[in-house]
Amino acid sequence: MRYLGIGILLLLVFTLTVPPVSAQEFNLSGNNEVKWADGIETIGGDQRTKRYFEDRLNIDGYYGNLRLGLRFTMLQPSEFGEEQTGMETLEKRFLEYTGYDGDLYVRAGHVYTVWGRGLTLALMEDIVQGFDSGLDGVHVKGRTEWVEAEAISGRSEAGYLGLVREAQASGAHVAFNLPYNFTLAGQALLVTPVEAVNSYSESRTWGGYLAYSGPVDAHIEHAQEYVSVSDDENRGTYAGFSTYVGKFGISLDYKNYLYYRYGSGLGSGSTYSQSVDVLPFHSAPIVQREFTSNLFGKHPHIVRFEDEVGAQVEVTWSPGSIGTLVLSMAQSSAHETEDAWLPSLKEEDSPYREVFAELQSYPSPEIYLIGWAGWNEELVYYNEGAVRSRVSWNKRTVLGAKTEYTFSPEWTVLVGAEGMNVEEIQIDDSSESHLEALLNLGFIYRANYSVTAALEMTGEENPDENRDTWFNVQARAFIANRHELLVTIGQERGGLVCTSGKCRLVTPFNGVKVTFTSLF
Amino acid sequence: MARTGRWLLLFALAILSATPIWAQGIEGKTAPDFTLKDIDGDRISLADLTKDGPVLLDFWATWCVPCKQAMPKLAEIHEDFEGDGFQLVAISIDNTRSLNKVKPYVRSQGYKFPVLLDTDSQVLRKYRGTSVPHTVLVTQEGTIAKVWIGYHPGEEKEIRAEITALLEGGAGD
Repeated sequence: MRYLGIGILLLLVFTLTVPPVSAQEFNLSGNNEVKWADGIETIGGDQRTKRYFEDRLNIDGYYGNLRLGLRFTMLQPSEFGEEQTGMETLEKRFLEYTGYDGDLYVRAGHVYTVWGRGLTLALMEDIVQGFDSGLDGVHVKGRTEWVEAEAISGRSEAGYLGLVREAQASGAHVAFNLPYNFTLAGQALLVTPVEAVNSYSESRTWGGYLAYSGPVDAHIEHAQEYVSVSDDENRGTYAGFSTYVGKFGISLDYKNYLYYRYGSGLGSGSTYSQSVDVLPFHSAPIVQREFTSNLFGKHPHIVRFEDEVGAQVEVTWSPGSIGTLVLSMAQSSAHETEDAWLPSLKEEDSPYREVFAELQSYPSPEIYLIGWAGWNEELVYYNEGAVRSRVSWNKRTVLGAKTEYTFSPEWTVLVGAEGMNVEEIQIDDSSESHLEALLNLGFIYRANYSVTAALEMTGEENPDENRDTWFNVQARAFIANRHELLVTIGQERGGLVCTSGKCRLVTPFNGVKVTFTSLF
Repeated sequence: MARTGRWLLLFALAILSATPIWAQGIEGKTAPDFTLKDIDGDRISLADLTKDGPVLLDFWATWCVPCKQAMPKLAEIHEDFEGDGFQLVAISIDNTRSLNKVKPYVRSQGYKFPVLLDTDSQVLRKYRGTSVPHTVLVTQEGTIAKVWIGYHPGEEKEIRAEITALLEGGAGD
């Protein structure tokens, strides 16, 4: 409430400094998203009724340089979460002032920002992952031709998934725009948890980066973290380089992370416990390909921010006539020694490596083609919950393609097929492997209406859900350029979904799901 | 607080449904202003972009397959209408995880239109986007003409028709 008071004060100040209402245009816009489902979900082999209703109404009011943002949220109950009891609240509110050309920016209420590549501070909300590290506080930014400065302070909210602890966080960031397109920046962050529950009572992080933009772009960033509960100095280093030559584009990313391991606020016995630990206020680059294909993406490597070193190379080739080919390679592992700066190949350091290639093409204006092939392997030896409970080499090989053919001025047909081999080799050399497949068939009418059927199959001997096929149909209607209706009927296999290194286990579901989004 | 939230939500929905705001949709609203850096580090504002004519804002990301599917089609539109004052602007929402891949991807494609960086998706949210691709046509006067959610084959025809209508001074259909 303290910050709401500051917001009202700001509103008064700026209202007095801008022309009267009659001379200004007041604008209101927003969107509303309703999600409803009724069916059965499967958790650990047990089936139970799953019903949820979520509504998020976002409203923005603009008046001159001022913006008032509100979000009303109703969860009756939520799609996922431990309690499943629901929530009805004014979830977000902020008042924002943006000066001419963005030279001055002040926001009170719920605030978000990212400094550099997020090694020191990245405040973000990901509704799909149930992650929200935004602060209820104040955020001020200012800039001149040579200097950009930011300060932020506020309190994080634990949220109903407990992924972010309730804490007071304050920090500052300054960046100097140097000659020859160089940027030099420094930043510091202080986090004080409201309750030091079996964890830390304070963390201090400072960092900085040097960046260059030109024929070769470069960004080198480091963060050093001191956590009161640990004697160790924790740290993160990232370097990114990119360039292009003719039809080739190349990027090289490097990570070296030894962050403090915070862990989820949910207990390990929780049904909805997150399978990974999270960095509440940092979001360092994961340095691996996160979005691959439907099947391949269900077996992601979970980045261990507390102990991981690795690199990724991605090459894009766009010869025009063929289309665009993207080839990505990544290798990572735990640190062989604390000072190691290259990934280890030793099994005890849990190495991970991947290769993924994707080709997109328009052989003719009516035909769109995309094909992909990938391979990865990982030695999983940690015992950190469901996804890391076995000591084994996990290897996956995937091959897939999808095409869309517009066969009349109004109709397009979509056909997709994907197959993946999953192999698990135990340390005693015993192994098992099985195939998985996904088929899609869909029709699109005038870009605004579509219906798609998906059939997923597995050859796994004892699948979690005691089922080896999943079939669903999804219909979409985009009405009057402002309403989107999505209806899915059937079975969904679920699986692990990761974004920015944060993962959520989506439970298998059988029933009806409806999403209705409106813009206004 | 929960009870207050429920009443506020019901009140807001009642107001919205009872007024032309809901029925009107987002079209005709003033396009929210923004200033973003492009992939070369230069700052570009909405006012800079609408100086010569309508602008198509294409929110995308390097990890988004439908976005990359749509982009060649939108690039063709950009080339066809560029001389008439129209401009396509691709706004990448790649954040810390993939920001390094934006420039090499765009340059390898040979795209000539501006590519801006909205790393915290704040501009996407101003334009009511919850996912990408999210495409918004803005008139030279700075109002929103049309919005498209996602990309589906054939959409480019509708986008082309709307741009033609704007350039000819019509309202579009």
